[in-house]
Amino acid sequence: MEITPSVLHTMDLFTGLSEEQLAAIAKIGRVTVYHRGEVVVREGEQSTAVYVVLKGQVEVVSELTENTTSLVILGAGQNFGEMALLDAGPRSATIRCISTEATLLTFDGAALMNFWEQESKVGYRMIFNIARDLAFKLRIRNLTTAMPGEGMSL
Amino acid sequence: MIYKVSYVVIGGDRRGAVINQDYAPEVGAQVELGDQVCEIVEVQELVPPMGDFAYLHVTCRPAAQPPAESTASGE
Repeated sequence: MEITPSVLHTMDLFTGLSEEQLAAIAKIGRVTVYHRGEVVVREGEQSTAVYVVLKGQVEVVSELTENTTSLVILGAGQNFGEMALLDAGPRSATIRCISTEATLLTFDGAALMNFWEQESKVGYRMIFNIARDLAFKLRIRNLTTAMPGEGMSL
Repeated sequence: MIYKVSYVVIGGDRRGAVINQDYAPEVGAQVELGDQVCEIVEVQELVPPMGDFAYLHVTCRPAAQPPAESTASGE
């Protein structure tokens, strides 16, 4: 799958970036295809890579207890892994592919931080977009928490 | 417009999903969330649109039958 600015334009992580900036960020990403059941990220692992779902669906799973709990499905346009990039903590959940295939754009955490250092306007915009996405997830969590026995966790 | 949609499933296995799509979800439409087919029962705007993005919260329930046509499978 070719990563073009028009593809990235549909991902909210990249909103507000120019075509030139999108082309530059695409160069430091790597496209990986996962198949159904494959684990992308394992809960508890140390890693700062950030992922964007280009195509397909992945499932966020908590393995904190003996029973595995499915938290949420992430489809096209969603990013994950940004928490560990921000706080350097271990992965908070396991992510696995649940569609026939899922195409992900992966950014090495250190490479992304370096790029942001060099291109501070891009860094500001992407950090803002990450914060906005976290606010979106928090609002959803608040809504679903207010629905006893229903809804999802994020 | 890109619609960033949070799907919450009432009942079923209680999974939800977040998906970006280029069409607005509509009440009565069906959506594939993983291996589950759901029917949309409510659509609400979560926060005002920003740039090309609209932010929606959708409540749905497990559908009784498979969808007639593909919707937001993301595949």
